[in-house]
Amino acid sequence: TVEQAHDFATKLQRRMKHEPIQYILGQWDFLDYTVAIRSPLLCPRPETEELVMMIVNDTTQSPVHILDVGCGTGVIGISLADMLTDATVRAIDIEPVAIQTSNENAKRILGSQTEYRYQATLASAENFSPDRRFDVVVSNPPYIPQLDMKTLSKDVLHFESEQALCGGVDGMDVIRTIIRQLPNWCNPGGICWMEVDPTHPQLIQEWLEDSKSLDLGVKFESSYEDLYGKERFVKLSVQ
Amino acid sequence: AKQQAAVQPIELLEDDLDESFVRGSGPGGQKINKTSNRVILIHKPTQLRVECQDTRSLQQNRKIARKRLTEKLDEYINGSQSKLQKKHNKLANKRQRSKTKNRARQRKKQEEKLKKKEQQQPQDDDDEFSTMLS
Repeated sequence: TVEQAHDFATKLQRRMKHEPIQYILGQWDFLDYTVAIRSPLLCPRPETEELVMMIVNDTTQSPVHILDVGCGTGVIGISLADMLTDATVRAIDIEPVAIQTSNENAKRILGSQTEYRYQATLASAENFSPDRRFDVVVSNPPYIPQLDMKTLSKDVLHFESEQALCGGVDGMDVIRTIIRQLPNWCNPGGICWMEVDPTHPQLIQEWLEDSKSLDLGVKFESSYEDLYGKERFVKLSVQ
Repeated sequence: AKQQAAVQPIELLEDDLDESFVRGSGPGGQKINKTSNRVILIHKPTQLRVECQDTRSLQQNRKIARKRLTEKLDEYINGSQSKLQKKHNKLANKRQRSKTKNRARQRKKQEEKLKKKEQQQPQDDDDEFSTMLS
């Protein structure tokens, strides 16, 4: 139809200006799910699918209480809520669009009567004081080092939120905040999974194994490679 | 009776697989937002190869590629006895049986039609005759 042709032409124009396809279509797929994706939220990458599968295969506890820090579109927490038995998820983000989109996606994927299973609220990692403790904390925090930001391609740099991407000078600002909060957020034996920049696993391990950091109460368990051979994931535990 | 070779159960071992993705050697992670999600899977011992770009999810495409490669390997190793070949044979047999049934049914219908015609014809003649008589 004429309308379809016009609509297609408009969308094509946007794509030619390097706007992410996920924003143009308003949705994309993540694992088995179709999720709403809105500007300026980070479009989920395939590495994050791997992170979710890793956690699913590693988590046997049931019921399990999960915290998703910097939830964005909500994909990580929602997938875990769906795939793990008896899982409840709380999710936080500093971007209001993230909270709206995450809760919307949760209704879409988990069903409308599931507020008790998934709940996203506006909060920063620094000042989040939950009313409960968690067994698993997961995050795909902004982790790009400042200097690398200008090397990004146009579709990322000009459209996706900088605060969802940049983690400060070494890319570790939000990661450090999360690690410091873990003893406040977790049950003893709680686990933290994060997606990070390949320069980070070593930095995190060195930091946590330094004698000065013993009072942090967080142990470096392991790092894992992604499908492209990059050291992309870390697993930490709370004493 | 003809003895068939034992059907070998097919198992895809991860160590035998060579998996590649069309994403190149760039930085990856948050730095890249490319939606290329094509998986190329090669079974090293046999050099059998499959590609998959069916879905928008890389993980789902990996699953589908493995399923397809397993089927390919099954056909390769078990030949006429592979699961896929058995399925095809079952369907072909079913089709053949229903064809035969249909033909038999059609034939029966034709015969009944002819019978009816023959029965009706003599009656008509009788009526005409009786009308003529009365």
